[in-house]
Amino acid sequence: MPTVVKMPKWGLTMTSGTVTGWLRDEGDEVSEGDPLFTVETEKAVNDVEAPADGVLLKIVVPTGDEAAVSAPIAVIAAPGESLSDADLAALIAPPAKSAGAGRAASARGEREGRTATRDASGRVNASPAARKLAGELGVDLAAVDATGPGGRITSGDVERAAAELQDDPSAREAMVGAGDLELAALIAGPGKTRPLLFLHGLGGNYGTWQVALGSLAERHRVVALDLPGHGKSSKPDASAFDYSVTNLAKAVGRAIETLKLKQPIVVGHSLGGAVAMQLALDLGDRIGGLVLIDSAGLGREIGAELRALMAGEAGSSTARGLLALFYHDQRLVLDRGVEEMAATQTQPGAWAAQQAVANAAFSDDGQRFDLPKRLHEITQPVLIIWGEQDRVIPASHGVSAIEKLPDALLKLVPRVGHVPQVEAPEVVATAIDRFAKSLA
Amino acid sequence: MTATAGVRQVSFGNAITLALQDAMRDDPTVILLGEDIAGGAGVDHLVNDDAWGGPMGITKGLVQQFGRDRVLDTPITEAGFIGAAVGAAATGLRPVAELMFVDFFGCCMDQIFDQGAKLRYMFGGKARCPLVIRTQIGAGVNAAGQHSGCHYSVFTHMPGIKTVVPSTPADAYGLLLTAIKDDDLVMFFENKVLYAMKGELPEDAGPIPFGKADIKREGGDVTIVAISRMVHQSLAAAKELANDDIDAEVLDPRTLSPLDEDAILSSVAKTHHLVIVDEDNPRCSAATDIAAMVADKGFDLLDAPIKLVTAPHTPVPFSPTLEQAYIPSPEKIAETVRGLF
Repeated sequence: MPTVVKMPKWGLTMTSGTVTGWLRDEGDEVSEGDPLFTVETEKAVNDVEAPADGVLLKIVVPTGDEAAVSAPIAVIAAPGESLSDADLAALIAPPAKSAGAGRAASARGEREGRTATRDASGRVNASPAARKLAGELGVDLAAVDATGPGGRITSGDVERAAAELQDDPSAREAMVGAGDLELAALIAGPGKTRPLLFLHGLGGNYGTWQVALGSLAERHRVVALDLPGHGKSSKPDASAFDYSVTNLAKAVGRAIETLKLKQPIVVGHSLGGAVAMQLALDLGDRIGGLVLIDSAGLGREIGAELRALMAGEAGSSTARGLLALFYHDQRLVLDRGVEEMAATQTQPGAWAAQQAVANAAFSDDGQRFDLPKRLHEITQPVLIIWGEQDRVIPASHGVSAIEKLPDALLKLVPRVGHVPQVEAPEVVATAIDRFAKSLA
Repeated sequence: MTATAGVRQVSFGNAITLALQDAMRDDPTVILLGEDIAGGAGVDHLVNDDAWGGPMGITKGLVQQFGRDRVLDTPITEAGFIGAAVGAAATGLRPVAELMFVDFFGCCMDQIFDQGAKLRYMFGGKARCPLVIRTQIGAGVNAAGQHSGCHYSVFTHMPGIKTVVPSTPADAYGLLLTAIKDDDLVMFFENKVLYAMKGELPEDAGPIPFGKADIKREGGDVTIVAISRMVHQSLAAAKELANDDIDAEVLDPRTLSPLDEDAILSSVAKTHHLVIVDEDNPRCSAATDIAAMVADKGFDLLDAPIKLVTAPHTPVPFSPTLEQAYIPSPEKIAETVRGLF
């Protein structure tokens, strides 16, 4: 059996890579694990190894060319195997476009879906019912095929698109209805698997999960949300919205309903961990499992430096201070990361919202939650991951949590600080993958 | 002609006669007035058993049962006898007056609109007008422009008037009982083409409340709100549409004022499509009234524009071909529905 070597996917947002060099030639014998070629992407340069023993029969993408993720790059023939040109061509031909998308057979005879018409100002032709439903389900009307007369998108078309999106594994961003709010979401991965829901921490956004999700999204449906007041989600004024963990959990609960996530495993980092715990208490067996990463809600202590920084002004100085506090390896405090964080902090309403979250969660005496006292009520399976060098919330919280949750698993990550998913993404991804498999 | 025990097959016209009879038996203050509703006053051989009982025979037999004190033939003066009916209602009787054809309302509009409809309001409730005006509507019998209109829209527009548009014998019976018991001015519109139509009337039939629509056919793909005889046109269209795999829901509002908005909105919430079928002329009509209500309160439910199938903006033609083209047909209704998908 020949093996097609494909362009790998590193990280959730990688869509293509460039082959910058071939380390072996056509005709060479190769062994599994031998570096074959080098790929460069926006974020990384790395070698791709041979996935099998055999002979490197054909180089499909030569040095200097770009190819999409999963595109064929080379063919390795098994030892002693020979392939006709026709067979070879069939192996590397691009897959036929699936007939699924775009075909909307309605009850009234066969009506092919087509691109919706637009008016002079570019507004897409969609019925009122379709618009409302698209807003609720987070479906982008620009991507919906229209079966209504005159190229109009109907509510049925939106429902079909939402159902297809449920199964569509490619990563996409959407706005998800959560009661009066809208939460930004990053969604990827195969539709029919148990979903993993990722909740970032104070001052963060779903970008913190990007690298870790790259591999997880191959096997799992992943959804990463921006919490209220963060990222691209709604940022209601603190006078009109309760930013406590209890209420944040309610909003996330509504998003879970909108997205129709069944029995998700909720992965929470830092404050997101406290939200995850609250969800587990609120929703009971509708939550399939918990992963708590350097989580709030497991003890009293909270780093004084964090409180001091959150009381300051939004901007580069605060952002640099936070990143330096979060990471163990200070080389990760890059100018670009600081600028990105400063930019999200200075969005209208963002800093005020995030300060409101901090004030609701922390006081001079430490974390305000009654969650530590309620640990014994948690019935879902739990995995706890902690960076040993965490200077924001001490790793001892993770250790002592095991005493109250005797069935929980604990993974301590050495030489890593408060954000293991950034400092050691493969470790976090592997741990979550194993945990999810164990629940299947 | 009984179908099953407890249910009779009666015609639309018979059902109305029965309702008048039952109401007059139960309440001695119920009286009838109209042109030739008894018939034959002063003509020896027509006085009793052979009295006509109205131009369509709806009031036949009643003068024999209840006497000429309670079933009054009036002169040909709508202004006179509708005025008298308003006065009778205001002074303690419960009259049911017959306006032979709705097209004649011009002769008695002051009595209806400025007097009867406003008495209760302007006297602060100290006066009431428990008057029912029964009137014939509808095209289809070559009665030409002055005897074939609908015009319930005109009265639905007016505060102080309730308007009733039954489509079946059972609905006519129950709604007329309610109209007679109602203490306000009720206009009761009888489509003349329906008089001979047979339908089931249960033995224990009672009053049907105003403001409650009836789903005459359940369906999931389109809501057809149909007024009076248009219910039957729409049911025929629904049969045709089933062949195209379109499942139509036919909703009969039964009263236009009060209107069962909730039933209409619930139906549109289910089907996302609305067609309104109305034999009345289209400007400022019941159809446009219902369409505006749904466009407002049901905007987010709609997958397609609201469509109206109505008569044209003309009087009713005398030519039989043109008259048939005037009335919304099952074919036109079906075609309009198909255009939504």
